[in-house]
Amino acid sequence: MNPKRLLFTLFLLYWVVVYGVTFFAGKNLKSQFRESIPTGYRMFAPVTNTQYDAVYRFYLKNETVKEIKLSDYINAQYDKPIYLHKNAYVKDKLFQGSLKVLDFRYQKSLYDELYKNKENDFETQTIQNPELSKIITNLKNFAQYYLNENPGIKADSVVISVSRNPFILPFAPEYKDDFTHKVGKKIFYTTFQKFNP
Amino acid sequence: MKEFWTAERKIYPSVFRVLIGLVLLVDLISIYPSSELLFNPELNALLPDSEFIGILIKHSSVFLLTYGLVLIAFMLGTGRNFTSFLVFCFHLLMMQLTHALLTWGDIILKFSLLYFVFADSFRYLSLQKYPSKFESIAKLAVWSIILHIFLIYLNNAYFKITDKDWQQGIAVYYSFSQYPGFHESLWHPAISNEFWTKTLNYFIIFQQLTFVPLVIWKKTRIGAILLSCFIHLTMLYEFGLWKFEIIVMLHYGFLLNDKEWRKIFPTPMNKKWFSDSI
Repeated sequence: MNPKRLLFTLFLLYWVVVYGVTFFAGKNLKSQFRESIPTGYRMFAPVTNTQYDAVYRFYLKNETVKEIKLSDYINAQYDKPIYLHKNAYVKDKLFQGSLKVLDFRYQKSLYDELYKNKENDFETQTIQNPELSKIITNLKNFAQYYLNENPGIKADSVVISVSRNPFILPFAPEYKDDFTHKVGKKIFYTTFQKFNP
Repeated sequence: MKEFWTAERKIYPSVFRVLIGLVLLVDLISIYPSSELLFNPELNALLPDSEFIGILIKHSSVFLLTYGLVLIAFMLGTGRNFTSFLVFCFHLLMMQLTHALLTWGDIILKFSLLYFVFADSFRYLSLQKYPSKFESIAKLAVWSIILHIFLIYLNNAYFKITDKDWQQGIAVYYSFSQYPGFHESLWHPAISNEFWTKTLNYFIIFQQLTFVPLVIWKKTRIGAILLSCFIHLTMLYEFGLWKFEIIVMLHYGFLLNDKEWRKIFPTPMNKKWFSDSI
């Protein structure tokens, strides 16, 4: 076979496979190919219909010494000059960006409990699921990072409360056609961290 | 229509090399001040556990500096396709190291850079001009990038048509409201209005669905590309995802052929930078 024709045939075959996998393959097959070929894009999509925040309450000898909201801290980082926005983006993604995953697991455990009669294993997952435990470690890491940034604050422990707040559509405030609204506005995860003296 | 598939595309790969190199270099420089946080396993639990990545994290400054030098060589056009291959490898490693920061732009670029390794991108705008010895492979590489862009649009349109939020016309509101500063945005009144937000929602689906045929058809090509650039510039301004938006807009250049690029560039620029006398 002519080498040019062979090359063109291989090229066509490759793209038939790529388009085939993208449009017709199931999730399992796609995940096998994901690293080696493009398997689909879901861009400009709302990744969540809920807002999240975390409140850090720092204590010294059982007395509150400081309370901060993670969103306020992140927003203040974006107020800095534009060349420092990437730094703000890094902090945003490391400390706040994964809260939607934590909430997704919380919602799923609750959904399974309510509609599938399964035991709610969210608390167990926060310890055993590597993805969740990393997110929670980063939540705790922020407290240490904040103290490093503000050496004037002396604290021996911190209590972290993660809250959720479903978006309300301004033009259809009665729209509640989503499980996130059933879960509602609440603190859905609380943890604490002790600092080494 | 035939013209789209048969036209020469030798100019833009070189332009893309310089511009994408610049985007990656600016991104690398902007990440550097955050490296103490980003590459510190005691503060960032999201770093991968692998031994090799551990070595890179330990020597992150050396890694970032080497990547920066490779990007400069890539932009200057030295080292031919081997430099392109190195850029692809470094981009892959950077994706591993900065997993928490990844956008769709990085994922799109991963595959585009892979195809770009084989493209004839050192013909122009290089310290030493090297036209490709394997023209058929170089052509297929550019076609691969074009088919990749088409896949992105068609798959996106398909996803939106089948997604509940997009079907109900509320996805645009949710997308915008995730970003800080939405309430102060110029778009806030329109996005919060049912008629306008739904109109925009369905218009975006329509735009993505018709992008491929409109780009293939010569008469609508420039219009379709300009409209897409406008949408991405709006998102750049509203969402602040500059890297993602610029990566996507730079891909559009592959949809234009040499004739169209020569019309866009002023004559002195064509003579100086894109002359075929190598």
